[in-house]
Amino acid sequence: MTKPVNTPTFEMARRSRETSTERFLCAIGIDSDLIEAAVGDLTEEFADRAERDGARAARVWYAREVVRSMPHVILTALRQGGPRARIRLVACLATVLLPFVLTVAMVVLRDGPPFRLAASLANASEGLVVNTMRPIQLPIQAFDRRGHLLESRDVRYRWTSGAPIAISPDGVVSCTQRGDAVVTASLGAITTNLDLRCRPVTEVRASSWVDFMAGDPARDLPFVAIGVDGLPVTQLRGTARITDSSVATLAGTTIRPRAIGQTTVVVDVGDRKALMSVIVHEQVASFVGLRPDQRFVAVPIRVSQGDTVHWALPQGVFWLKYLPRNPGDAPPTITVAGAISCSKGDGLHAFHTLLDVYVVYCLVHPGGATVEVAHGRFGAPIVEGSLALQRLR
Amino acid sequence: MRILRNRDMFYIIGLMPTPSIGQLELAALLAVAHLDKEAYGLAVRRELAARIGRDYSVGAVYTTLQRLEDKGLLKSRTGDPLPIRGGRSRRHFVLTGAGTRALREAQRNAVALWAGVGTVLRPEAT
Repeated sequence: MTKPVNTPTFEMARRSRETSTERFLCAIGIDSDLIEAAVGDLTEEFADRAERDGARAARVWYAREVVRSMPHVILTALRQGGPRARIRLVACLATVLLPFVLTVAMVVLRDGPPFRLAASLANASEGLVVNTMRPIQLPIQAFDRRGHLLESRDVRYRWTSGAPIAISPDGVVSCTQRGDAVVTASLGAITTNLDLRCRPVTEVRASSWVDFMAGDPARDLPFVAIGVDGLPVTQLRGTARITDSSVATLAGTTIRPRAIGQTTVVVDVGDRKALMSVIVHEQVASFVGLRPDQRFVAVPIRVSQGDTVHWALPQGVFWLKYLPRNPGDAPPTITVAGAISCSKGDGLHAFHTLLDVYVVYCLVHPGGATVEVAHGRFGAPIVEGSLALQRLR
Repeated sequence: MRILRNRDMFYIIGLMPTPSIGQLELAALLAVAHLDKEAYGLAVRRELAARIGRDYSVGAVYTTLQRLEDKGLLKSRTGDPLPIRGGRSRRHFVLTGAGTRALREAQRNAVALWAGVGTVLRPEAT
C-alpha cells in the first residue's frame, strides 16, 4: 500500500501516475478500481487521523491497517488474478517470507549458552559402568536451554567421593580396580554429579560351542566376565552380535535357534572379546545314509542303567559331541571302534567345557566305525541327551 | 465497467433465489442501506464500527463489498477524484433489487428465529 503524506497534493484530476504499491497490486491481479478505492480510503482516513491524533499515531494506524489487510489482499489476488498474476504473487510472497523464515530458523536453531550438563548413558540410574581397563573419556555433554547439544571442550572434572579412582581434569578416567565413586563435572557455574562404577574386566570366558537341536527354546549366552580380582562381574556394558541371523537370533544376551546351520556370536565387554560357534542340529534317527548337505545332525540318546546302544558312523572327518539333555547331567560312557582316529587315539576322550559338552575331533577311514553309548550300574536311572555329528568333509 | 453475467440477468428478472449471505455480508448490506448514497468503503467501515463495535480492516470490508457485488446484491460506481484521497476516487455502493430482497429475507428469517425466545431469555444482570 502507498505511504501517505500528511498534506496530500491537491489534484482534482484523476491521477495520471499510480504509486509502485498500486502497480504491484495491479500486477498480482487485483482489480484496479478496488485498489484505487481501498488505497484512497486508507489515505483519507490517514489524513483524518493525522489531523486528530498526530502524524505519528496516524502512521502507526496506517501500518497496522496494511498488515491487517494483507491476508484479504492475497486471497483477493488469488481469486481474481490470472495464472501469471498468481505466479508473481507466489514469487513475491516467497521473497518477502524467505528472509523472515530464515531469521526465525536462525533464532530457533542457534545454540544458546550452556544450561545443563548430562551424561549420555543408556541407564542413568545405574550410573556410568566402566568395564575397560584402558583410560576412557567420561561422556558428559553440555546442552543449552532448548536442549541443543553444545560442542564444549571446557567441562572440568574432579573426584568427589567414593573409591580412589584416578580422574584427570579433562575427564579421562582409568579404572584399574573395582569400586564406586562420585565425579563432579562443571562448566562455569553449571555442575552435575556422575556415579562412576568401575568394573574392569580382564577376561570374557565363553563356551566355544553353543549347540541347539532344531526347535529348542531360547537360552542365555554361556559366557562370564571376570574382573581384576578373579571374581565374576555382573554389571556389564558391551555388545553381542551374531554373524548369521538366519541360523539364530540375539535379543540382548539371549539366543534363539531359527534354522539348521552354523554361525558365530561375538561378545565384546570393555576391551575384551569372546567368540562362540553356534550350531543348530537336525535330529536324525541314525548316522547312516546322510546326504552330503546334512552337516549338522544329532541322534537322541536315552539309555537306562546297564543298557548299551550302537550307531554306525559315516566315513569322513567330523566333530563328535555328546549334548546332555540338562547341563550338568552325568554323561554315559562313550567309546568308538573300527577304522577311526579321534583326538586321543582309540577311545572317545571327552573334555569338559562350560556347557558340559563332550566333544572330540574324529576321522573315520574306509571300512567304517561305530560309536557305543553305555550307562553303567550306578548314577541316575536314565541318561538322556543327544550324540551330535558336525561333518567337516 | 462490470460485465453482466448470466446470474445477474437471473437476478434482474427475479428468477433466482436470494443467495445465502454471511454475518459480515449482512452487516455490510445493512450499513450500505443505512448510508444510502454515502456508502463507500470508509463510510461502511465507520458505520460497522459504530453499530456493532467491530473494527474491520480495509481489506476485509472491501473483500466483503466485492463479494456482495459479485453476488449481485450491490452495485457500485466510481465518484470524482478527491484531494483528501490523494486524487483517488471513492467507490460508492448501492443496494440492488436482489440486495433489498436479501435484506428482507434476512429480516423475516431473524424475526421467525427470534419469535418466542424473549420469554425464555432472562434479562442480563447489570
